[in-house]
Amino acid sequence: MTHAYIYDAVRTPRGRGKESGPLYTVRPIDLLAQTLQALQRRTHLDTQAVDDIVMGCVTQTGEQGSCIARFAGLLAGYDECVSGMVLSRFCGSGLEAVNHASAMIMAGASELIVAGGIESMSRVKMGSDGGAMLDVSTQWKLPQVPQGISADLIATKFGFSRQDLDDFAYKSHMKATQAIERGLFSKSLFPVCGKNNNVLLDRDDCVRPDTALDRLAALSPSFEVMGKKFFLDCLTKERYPELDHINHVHTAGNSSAIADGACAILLGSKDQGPRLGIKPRARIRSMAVISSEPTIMLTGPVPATKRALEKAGMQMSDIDLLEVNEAFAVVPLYYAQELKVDLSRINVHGGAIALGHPLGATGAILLNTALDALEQLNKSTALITLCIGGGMGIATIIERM
Amino acid sequence: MQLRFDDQTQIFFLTMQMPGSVNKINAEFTAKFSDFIDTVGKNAAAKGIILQSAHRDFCVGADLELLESCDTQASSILAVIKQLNQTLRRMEKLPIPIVALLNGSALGGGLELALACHCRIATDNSHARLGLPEVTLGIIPGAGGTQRLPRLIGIEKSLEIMLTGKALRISDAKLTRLVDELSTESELISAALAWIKANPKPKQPWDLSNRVSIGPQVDSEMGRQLFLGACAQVIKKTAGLFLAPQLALSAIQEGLRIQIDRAIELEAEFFASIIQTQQAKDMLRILWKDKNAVEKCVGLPTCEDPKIRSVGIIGAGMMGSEIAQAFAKKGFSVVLNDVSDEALSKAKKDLMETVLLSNDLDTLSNCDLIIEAVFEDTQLKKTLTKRLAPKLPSGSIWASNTSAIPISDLATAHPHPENMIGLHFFSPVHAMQLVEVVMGEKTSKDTLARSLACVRAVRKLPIVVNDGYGFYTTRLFCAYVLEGAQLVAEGYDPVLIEWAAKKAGMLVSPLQVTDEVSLSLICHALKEGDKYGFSYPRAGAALLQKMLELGRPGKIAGKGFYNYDGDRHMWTGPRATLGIAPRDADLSFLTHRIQHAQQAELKRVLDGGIIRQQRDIDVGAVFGLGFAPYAVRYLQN
Repeated sequence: MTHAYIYDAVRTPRGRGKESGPLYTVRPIDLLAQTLQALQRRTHLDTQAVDDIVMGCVTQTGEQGSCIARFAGLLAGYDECVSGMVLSRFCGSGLEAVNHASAMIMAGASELIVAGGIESMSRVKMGSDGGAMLDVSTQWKLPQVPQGISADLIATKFGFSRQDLDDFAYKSHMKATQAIERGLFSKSLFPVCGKNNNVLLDRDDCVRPDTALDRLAALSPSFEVMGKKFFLDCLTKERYPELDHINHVHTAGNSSAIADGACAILLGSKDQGPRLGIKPRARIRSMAVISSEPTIMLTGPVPATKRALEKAGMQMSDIDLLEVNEAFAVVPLYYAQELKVDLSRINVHGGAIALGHPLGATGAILLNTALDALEQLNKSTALITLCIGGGMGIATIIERM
Repeated sequence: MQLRFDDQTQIFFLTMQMPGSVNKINAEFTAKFSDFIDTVGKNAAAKGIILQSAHRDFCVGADLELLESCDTQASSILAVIKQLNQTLRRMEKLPIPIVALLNGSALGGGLELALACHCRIATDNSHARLGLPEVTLGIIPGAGGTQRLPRLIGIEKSLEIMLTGKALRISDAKLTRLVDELSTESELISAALAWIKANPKPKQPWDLSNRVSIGPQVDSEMGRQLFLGACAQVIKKTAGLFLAPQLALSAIQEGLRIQIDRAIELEAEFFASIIQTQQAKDMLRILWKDKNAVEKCVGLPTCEDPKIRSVGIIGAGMMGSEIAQAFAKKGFSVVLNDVSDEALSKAKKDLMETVLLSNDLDTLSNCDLIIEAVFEDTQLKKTLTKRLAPKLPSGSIWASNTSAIPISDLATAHPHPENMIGLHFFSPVHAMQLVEVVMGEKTSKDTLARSLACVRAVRKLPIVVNDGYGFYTTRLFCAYVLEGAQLVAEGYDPVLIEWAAKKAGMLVSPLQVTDEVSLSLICHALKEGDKYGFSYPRAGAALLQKMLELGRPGKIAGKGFYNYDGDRHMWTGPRATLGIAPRDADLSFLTHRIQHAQQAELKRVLDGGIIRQQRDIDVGAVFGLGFAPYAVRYLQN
């Protein structure tokens, strides 16, 4: 079996995913096309050599529907022989795209693939693609709650307080602010432009450098009304009857920010380097996807990590940096507690709480961030993992060349 | 049922007039209805149909006798449903207007009939109600109700109507578009004729290609939220045990996504699956057949006139004053007595003005019926009886509202023990339908017959039981709450115990209800019970005693098994303060323990000869003890 190598990666800065956000006026297909163009420019890529464009995208409806990867590739000027595919593994989509591309390369079925993700949450609303998972007929057999309630459930069950979460959120903002000020993200970012090549956004703008603990503490819980007033908490009772109640501790401040963004990563076999005249930056060591109990939903990174380590024949101590997606503050906190990892190794430049979580793109963005950080810190290995709806979890281990 | 063609207006008058006083849908009705619609369809001159009732109400729904025969007749019931659904579709697609005249109530299948008309004109009779009460009997609508109602009035309102089964007054129905027009009884026909003239070619909203939906669409964000919220509410209320609201919700959500004809077929599938469940059969039996029998006192001594005009209530606590109010509301002349003026003035606030208040026992000496509702103290009760009973008119009845003390014991203080009976009301009286009527050893048939007449007069459900400490309901109640305490004392997780009870089919969990009635009351009842050899789990009783000593008497003090500080949170004290060693258990183990404690107590009650009629067991459990009617089956299994 051959290895899969990461040759390069680019991403858009993440914009606030609202109507007032900087990327709101950009169609998702154009956002992705600009990303593909940026990758091509940086690597002087002969796009004829690309076998496929594999993109993660969660809300595949409206203007994000109908295989956006294929048409974004064409709009980006990629050769018409380059295929395109879109996949969804909810929040794990971007990393799943990378893993899928790697698997194709490792199997010898493909030589060169652009993988990544796209999500314009300001334009295509989360959940607007429907789905039957919360249908009543599904619920009778399989009680499910919205993710925020699952996050609050984890906090309640494993004893994380509101203050624990707010502290974590505060640090995420501080780390991200510092990383931005020191230009640590600039290697991979490219400016997103408007119709006249005017720059719409050239740095991540979800982060709040002026965040303060007392301001975080003043925010009201986001999921209390639906949990208590609309009784959704009791849908967890079937699985967690031992919980007297759920503490609603997650807020807009300690949950990930809704964002727009895209990311593209060039992956290929060893032969592709000399052929294209570029050097690989890292290789994929292992990857894993798991599923676990769907009501608590967001604890999947722990078993996913264990499996990825096992597949790579590695220990947690072999991993230099960890990217654990900050869908909710409790996710990395629970992860660190369960796997006995020091929080200082997790999300060294902040995470989605500060920087935003454009659903389908985040997995690829985290891998890109981890790769840059390894180079900056002169470290070797990183593990990227995300919690996923339905109780799934995904993890990838990369190793610098 | 008859069909008449009016030559002058060229309108068909379809008049429902089933034998008896109400219109009910059965096989015969359906077949005839289908024939009539065929007849109308063949008449090219017809300008419209007016569907009306010759009875006081429009139509009160399916004939429950038909459903009751479900065991043997399931396929024929489904055939009737299918025929009815096809007829209704054929009818509403006729190229002429069809108007339903709602002169009174339209319930269940009756409302479904009206929903298949193009227009509903109603008279605002105070007795008239419109609704789909099927879920309250453990079934779901089967003649298009789950499909037409939300398509007509929107998801939100129709979920409320179908999930609660609560019927609307006409004026409220008008606000929802369920009723198109209001009219008076005498002008119904002319209003219908006018509507027909103005709308010669109406189409049902669901048959229009470009219709605007009322409220959110099924798969809009709001629509999804409505269903998710309704789902959570159902789970919360029923712990996922009750099928009817679940299937109703499923039928609505799934059906709204598809074309109407297929949606009605889908509803019929759901309907077919539910009518054959044990749960539906149990609910139909308990809530309809047995309840009717209890209500009408079938098989019990009756009397035309109980000769009771004046009622004296002793004890103006919550129970006494609520009983006083219940009798006063039904026109009895009522005297409420208490030694405490303070208690009387407190009671006065919630009482009708016709209730006489008195602190002098002698003012009751002319009463035909005395209901004693003082504190559960045998001696006090006897003393009062001894003082007042001899002064009463001969033949007046003395009823004790005791929930436990044997009537035969209390009757020793009465010069005519044959006039003594137990009338055990449940708190809160206005909400609880049950009255446990207790026969002392010497209680006469005449006393029973007259007492039953009184209970019926105040619209309560009387179950008649024999004497013995705790009778039927209190013994089962004690077995339930004591098992809750016992499990806590044994070290099981209180939070799990509470949920296990819900999963067993109890509407209120044991520790919660213990807090609500107060630990002191239960401990007192157990102490009294000791005198009569009443058996109960000792560790549970000791725990209650210990909690009392710790100053945790229940909700009233803000501290019991729970802490009440705005929110209600489980007290962690059994382990933290009392040092009870924790023990792990599966939920199903705890559920079985609770169920078994109740079954075992029922067995002892039966062995003791307390129960006189089988039907009283379930009716008592459901209407007095908070057993869910959809789950009570386990009690006797």
